[in-house]
Amino acid sequence: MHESTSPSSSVPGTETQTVVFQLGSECYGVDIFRVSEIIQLRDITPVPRTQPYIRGLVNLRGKTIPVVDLRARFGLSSQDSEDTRIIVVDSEQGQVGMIVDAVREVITLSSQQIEDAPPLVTDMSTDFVRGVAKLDESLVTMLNLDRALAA
Amino acid sequence: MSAELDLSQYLDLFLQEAEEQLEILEQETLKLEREPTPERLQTIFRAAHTLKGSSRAMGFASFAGLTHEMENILDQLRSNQRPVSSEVTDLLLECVDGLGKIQASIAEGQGEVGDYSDLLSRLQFFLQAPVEAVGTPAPSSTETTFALSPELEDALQAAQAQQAVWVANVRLSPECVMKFVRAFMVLNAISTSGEVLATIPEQAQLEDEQFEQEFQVYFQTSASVEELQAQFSSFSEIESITLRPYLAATPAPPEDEQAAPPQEAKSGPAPSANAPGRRQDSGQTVRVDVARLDTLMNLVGELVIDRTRVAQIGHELHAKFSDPALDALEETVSHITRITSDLQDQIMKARMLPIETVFNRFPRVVRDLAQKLGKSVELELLGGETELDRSVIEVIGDPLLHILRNSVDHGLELPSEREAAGKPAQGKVRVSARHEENHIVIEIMDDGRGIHAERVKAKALAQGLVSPEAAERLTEKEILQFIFASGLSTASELSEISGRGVGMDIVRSNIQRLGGLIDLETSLGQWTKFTLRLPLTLAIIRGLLVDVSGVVYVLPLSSVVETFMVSTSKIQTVNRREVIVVRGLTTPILRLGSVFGSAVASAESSSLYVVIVGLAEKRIGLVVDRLIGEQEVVIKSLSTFCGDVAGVSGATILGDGHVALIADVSGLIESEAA
Repeated sequence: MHESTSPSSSVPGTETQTVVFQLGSECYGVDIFRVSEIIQLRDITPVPRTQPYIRGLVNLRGKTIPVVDLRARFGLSSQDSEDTRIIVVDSEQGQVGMIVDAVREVITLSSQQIEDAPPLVTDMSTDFVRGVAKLDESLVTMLNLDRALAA
Repeated sequence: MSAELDLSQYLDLFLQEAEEQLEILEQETLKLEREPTPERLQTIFRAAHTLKGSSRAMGFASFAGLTHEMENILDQLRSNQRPVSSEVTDLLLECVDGLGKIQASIAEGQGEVGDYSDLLSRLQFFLQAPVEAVGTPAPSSTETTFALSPELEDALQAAQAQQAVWVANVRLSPECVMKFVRAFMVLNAISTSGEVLATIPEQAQLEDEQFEQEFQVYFQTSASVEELQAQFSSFSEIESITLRPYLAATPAPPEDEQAAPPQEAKSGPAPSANAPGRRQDSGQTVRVDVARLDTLMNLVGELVIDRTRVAQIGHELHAKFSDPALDALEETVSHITRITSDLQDQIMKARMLPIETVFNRFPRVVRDLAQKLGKSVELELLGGETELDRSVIEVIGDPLLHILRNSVDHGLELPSEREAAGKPAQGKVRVSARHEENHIVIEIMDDGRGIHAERVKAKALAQGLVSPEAAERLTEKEILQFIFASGLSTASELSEISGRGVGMDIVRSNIQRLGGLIDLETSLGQWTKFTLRLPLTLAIIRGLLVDVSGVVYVLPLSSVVETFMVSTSKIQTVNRREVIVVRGLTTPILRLGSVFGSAVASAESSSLYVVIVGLAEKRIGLVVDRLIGEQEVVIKSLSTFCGDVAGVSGATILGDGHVALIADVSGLIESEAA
C-alpha cells in the first residue's frame, strides 16, 4: 500500500491512462495506477475535530478509510447527488477516498497532450495541479494527488 | 551472482538466529557470573559457535571475528585454563553488546557498522594474559582435559546420532619409553571391534610422540565396555585407561567425574541417549512470520464483523417473513458465531507471548546499573510465563524498563545508607506479573527509601503544578500522582540514568494509550510499589455503544464504572463546570455532544443518560443521548490522514457495517481536568 506509487510526471512519449472525473463544471484526471477502486457514496462516519474537508471514515470491506471531500478541499461548496462517487486512491498515508461529483471515463493521454498548467486556468490553487491535458473539445486538469491530499 | 541471491534469502534467518543466540549468550553469561557450571559454559560456547558459523557463512567478518575470540575465551574457561571472573564476563557481555549492534545495523540494511578492533585486541590480549593459578590441582594428579575444536565436536555429534561415541583417556606410565607403540596398541585394540573417530592430540602427533603421558581417543564400538576394559588391562606400561561416554553437553568433565574410578563407565549401558536432550523438542513448533499472524488476526476481525452483520440481516428477515429456511439460517449463524469466536480465541493465543521476553532484558540492565551506582541489587522476576498479546509486549518494554531504572537509581539506597537504616546492604527489586480477569497486572516493588510525599508536594508547588490552597486539600495519594506530572523529579541530584523529570509522565501516557492504568504506593523508608494494569490485547475490546447526536461511539467497557439516568435538575454548576453528585461524590460531567461538536444539538429532555468512566481514582460522567448496548469490537487505528484526534483513540466497524469511533476515555478525563 505504501510503496511510492507510480511516477507523477510522465516520461516523454509515453501514454498514461487517466480516470476523468467531474467537480462542479470542470473535469479532472488522476493516473489510473493510483486508483484502487471507485465506489458509491455510502454512510460516512464523521470524525470530530478534523479538517473540514475530511468527511469521515467509511467501511471498505472491513477496513476503515478516511474520505476527503474534494470540493471542500478545493474551496467549492459540496453537494451530494446521484452521480456522486468515492474514488479510492493510494496515497502516501494509505488508502484515501475522494468524493467527486461524477466519474466520467478512462482516457489514454500521451504525454505530449499534457501541458503545464497556466496559472489561473482553474479555480483551485495551482499547487494541486500537475498539468492540463487538451482534448478535442475540453480540458482535463491533471491532479497532483500527493499535494491535493497532503494535510 | 547466484550466491548473493542465496545469501539475501537467508539473511532473515540469520538475523533471527542471531537475535535468539545473542539472548542466550547474554542470559547465560549473566547466570555464569553468579554460578559457573560446565553445562552453562557449554551452552554459551555452543551459542557463540553457532553464531560464528552462520556469520561466516553470511560473510559478516566483524561478527565472525568477535564470536571467534569469544569462543577462544570460552574454550579457556571450559577447559579450566582460566577461572570465571567478572573481568571475563564483562568482556563477554561487551562482545554481546557489540554483536547486538552489528546485528541491528545488518537488520537495518546498513551491513556491518562499527569498528571493533579495540575490543578485538583487548580480547586477544586477555587470551594471552598469564593465568593465575586456577582452582584445579596440578595435572600430574588428574587427567589432563582436552579441548575439542568446534569442528571436531560437530563431527562427533554427527557420529553420535548414528551410534554411541565413547572416549578413552589413556595415561601411560611415566617410565614408558616407546609411547607411540603403546598408543598404537590401544588404537588397534579399539579398531578390531569398532572405529576410531579422532584422537587428541592427532594421530600424526601421536606417531611423533608429541604428547606427555596422556591422550584421548574418541571412538564407536560394537564391543561392550567390559570387553574393552579386559583387553586394555592386558597392556603393559599403561597407568590407566578411563572409559566414559562422550557427552556433547559436557566435554570437559566436572572435577568429581574426573575423580571417579574407571569402572564408572560400566554403570551406564547407553548413557548417550540423554545427551542431546535439547534437540528433542524440535518439530513441535513452527516459526511463523509475525506479519502473517497479524494478517490472520485482521481477517478474523473482518469475519467477526461479517458474522454480526449476517446475524443482523437474519433478524431483519425474520421480522418480515416466516420461513423454515430462516430458522435454518439462524441456526447456521449461531454455529458460525461459535466457530468464529473459537477461531478468534485460538489466533489470539497464537499471538500471545510470555512476558519473559520483556523480563529477559532486565537482569542485564539492573546489573550494569547497580555496578555503575555502587549498589548491590537482587532482582527477582516472578510470573515470567504470564502470557499477553504481542501488541502489548511490544510497547510495555520501555515503560517497564524506565520504572525499573527509577527503582534502582532513586528507590534503592546505597549499601551504607541501607545498613545505617537497619536494612540488609543488598537492595531488592521485585518485578512480578500475573493475570487478573481480562487484565495483566505487573508490579515493580523495591525495598528502598520510599517516596517522601511532602517533598513531592513542595516540588509540585515550586513548579506551579498546583496552587498552595489546592495542595492543602490533597490527600497523600493525590500528591503522589504528581510523580507522573511532567517536569517533576524528586531526585536531588541528576544522574544520567534518571532524574531529569522526563519519563514518568511519558510512562504514564504510554500506558494510558494502551488502555492501561498505572498506580503507585509507597511507605516512607520501607518500599515503593508501581502497579500496572494492562489489557491482554489491543486488538479486540468489549465496548459500550452509545449514541451521541445520532452518531455511534464506543466506550471501552474496561473504563466504564456505571451508567444511569439523571434528571437535568440534578446538574449543578461549579466554577462554570457542570457537575453531578454521585453517592456523595461531586463528579464533573462532559456532554459528549458538545465535545465532539456535532452539528445537531441533542434534544433537550428532562433527563440525561450518564456514563461514569474512571481512570485510576478519577471519575467523570459522560452525557450521551442513548445507550445502545455492549459489543465486542475490533480496534482499527484512525488513519494517519486524520491526524491525532483529541478524544478519539480509534475506530471500529459495527455489525451493521457502519464505522464507529472509539472514545479515548483517558484523553477525555484529562481534557476535563485541564
